[in-house]
Amino acid sequence: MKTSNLHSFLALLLAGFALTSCNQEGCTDSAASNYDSGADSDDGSCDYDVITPSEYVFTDANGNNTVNFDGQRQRLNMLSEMTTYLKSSNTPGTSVDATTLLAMYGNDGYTWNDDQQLGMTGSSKQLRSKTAGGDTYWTETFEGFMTGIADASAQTVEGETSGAAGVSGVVGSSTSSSQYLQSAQGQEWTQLIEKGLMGACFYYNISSVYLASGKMDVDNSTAVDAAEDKFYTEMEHHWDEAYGYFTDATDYPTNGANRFWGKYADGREDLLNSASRLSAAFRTGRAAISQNRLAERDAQIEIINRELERCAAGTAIHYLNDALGNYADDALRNHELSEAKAFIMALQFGAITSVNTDAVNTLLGTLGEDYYTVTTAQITQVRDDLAALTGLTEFASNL
Amino acid sequence: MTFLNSEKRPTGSALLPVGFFISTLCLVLVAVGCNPDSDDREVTFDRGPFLENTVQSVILPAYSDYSAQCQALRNASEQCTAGQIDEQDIVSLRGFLRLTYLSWQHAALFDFGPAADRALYLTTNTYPTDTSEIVAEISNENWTPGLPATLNSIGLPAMDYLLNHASAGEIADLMNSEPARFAHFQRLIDFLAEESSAVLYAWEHDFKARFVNSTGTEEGSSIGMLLNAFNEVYEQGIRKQKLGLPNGIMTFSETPQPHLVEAPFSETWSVELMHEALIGCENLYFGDRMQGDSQQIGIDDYLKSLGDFEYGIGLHNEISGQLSTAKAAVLSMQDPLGQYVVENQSATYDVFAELQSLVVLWKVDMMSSLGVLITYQDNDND
Repeated sequence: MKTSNLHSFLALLLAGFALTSCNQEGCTDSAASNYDSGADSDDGSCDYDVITPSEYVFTDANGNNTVNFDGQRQRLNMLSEMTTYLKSSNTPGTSVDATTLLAMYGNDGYTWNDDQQLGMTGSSKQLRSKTAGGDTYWTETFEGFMTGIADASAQTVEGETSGAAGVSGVVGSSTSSSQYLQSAQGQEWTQLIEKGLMGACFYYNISSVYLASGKMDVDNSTAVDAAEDKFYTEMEHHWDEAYGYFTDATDYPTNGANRFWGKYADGREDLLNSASRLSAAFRTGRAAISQNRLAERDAQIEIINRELERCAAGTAIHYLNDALGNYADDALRNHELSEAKAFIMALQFGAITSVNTDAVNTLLGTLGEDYYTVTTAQITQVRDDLAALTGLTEFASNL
Repeated sequence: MTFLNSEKRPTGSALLPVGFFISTLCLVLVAVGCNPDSDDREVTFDRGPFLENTVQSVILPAYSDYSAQCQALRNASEQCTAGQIDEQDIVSLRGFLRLTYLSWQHAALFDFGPAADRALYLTTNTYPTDTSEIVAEISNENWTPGLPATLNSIGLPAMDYLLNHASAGEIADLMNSEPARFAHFQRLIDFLAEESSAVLYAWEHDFKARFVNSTGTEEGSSIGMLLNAFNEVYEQGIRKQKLGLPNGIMTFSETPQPHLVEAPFSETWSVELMHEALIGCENLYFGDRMQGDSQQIGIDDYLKSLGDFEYGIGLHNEISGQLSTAKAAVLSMQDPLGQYVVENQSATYDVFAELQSLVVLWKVDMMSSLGVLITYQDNDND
């Protein structure tokens, strides 16, 4: 504002001189970002900054709300309910049922709590078909985790934390009251499923589906179906669907920092500014679409891809450091390494990634499968390699 | 406790009537995880030289001394030959182990960066040590020190057991009749010597520059890491582990647990080690071994730079006074500490209270005055 006032003043001042000087073409609108104070003849080149709203709230010319990500909210809620169910197995003697988990995963005959009454039960929305585009390698991987936790949970006995090196079961922390159901190698299915689906489902759909060309090179001029209150264009809607996989709060990070990517971006805010950068990029990109500024939209897509990668890698590094800090505590170390593994896995689902599937497998190979016999050298090696790949070396010890 | 203390020490320019309101507001913000912004206080303290001095005068000397002590113990053990070890050899090794143990009390405070990367704190001094596991590992040729399962049977506590659990003559006899026992002792010191020199190397070659150059106070900054590690080691590793658990005050039953003292087999080192740990804290706090008598820039100078207020010079005076009181209180106890906590439990409660006062001064008052967030209790256990 101050700048444009100054510019107005200068413009007036210069206009006086211009009367006596030669004709110069350029942008003469002082509200434009490329306003040329030396120009006295407008050549139609004026460029305007996209105005980014402070919240993810967008309306059409008539004031109708154009934002809708109900389908994403349903899937976030499905994963929340599934995670709650999975965590019940951390209490020894409480088993989780494979059939139930698979029914939740495919939303196939499962009755949800559906606290927000979104109509989740019997809806066409599901996590399974959206996992890496329904790729069977990945859906079977997650289904394997689900049968794995079901089998292991059925073996636990009330009151007994009998999980240990070589023995699957609930492992009790030696330094806190935490306890987790883990495999004989210390891998924690709940983390691999929850954080794994954050990657294979949510991250994948944001980066590789909705912000990719297939969903971005679409109509951006007409409302999809105004009669059905779908006042958004197809492109706007796709962008909203990407946002909905990041968070379902329009006022993020005031709200929405309690789960999934919204939560971990908030956790990386202090060092990586993940929450503020992602939130701003989603809002700016959406505003750019509404103003049909596609170059600006693409710039924001680049930011989102980069920041999601930094957030995922930074979170993996954070958990690797936590595991070093809790190295002597089997339950916490295994828990944190399982989280780190899932966030490393997530990196391969970005459209533009510094850590492709081969790199992910190399990193996980370095970490090894057995979290009871992992060395501090292995953990720091994975951490430093990952940091180098993602440009986070300066934060490797601090995250 | 936190509230009362912090209300006395308003942050920012809150010395006006609105001070109470502002400080209360800040407390609410802190409680929900807001990073208190030290810039509000217009601190003119230059943190670069402070970090530089902390590395040069405190951290590097601590690691280089500890590494040298490990090496000296290793060299001494290499002078001995299984089968020909005599009582005097054991007495000599014990002397070297005691010096290593004392030196570790200084190095233990910096459990971040290179030390955290190698879990040095855990591999060096996890106690109580599991004596039956140590005995079982003596004959294990594939034993790999440092893996999670070995942490309670390695390090200084395992060596305390092997050298001190019987008379010097008896230990010499055991080592001679079972050469693997002596070889295992050497494996233990080899591991410590290598780990300590690796950490020293990492500090000297890479980490030092990164540490000195990160002059902010945010989470993950050098000051954040340094002071969080310091507070955590003091609170958990010194106050709780060295005294609060052995004397029972921090256990549910409140009964003394003599086997939980540090270096229990030595029977003469526990009090001295606790006292040495406080000297280590003092060195870090004052920025050198001169306890503030030199011009070296320490945390004391940082606090004094905040001005002649309760949270500046006033707090510094409280801390330096309490440090002296706590050291004297620790020295009022006698070894063997395991026996002392049983026979004089209430007296050790008084000593604990003096150690506890330092937790309040350092963790609550000092950290909020410096605007550095305590992050080590933050467990993302979800």
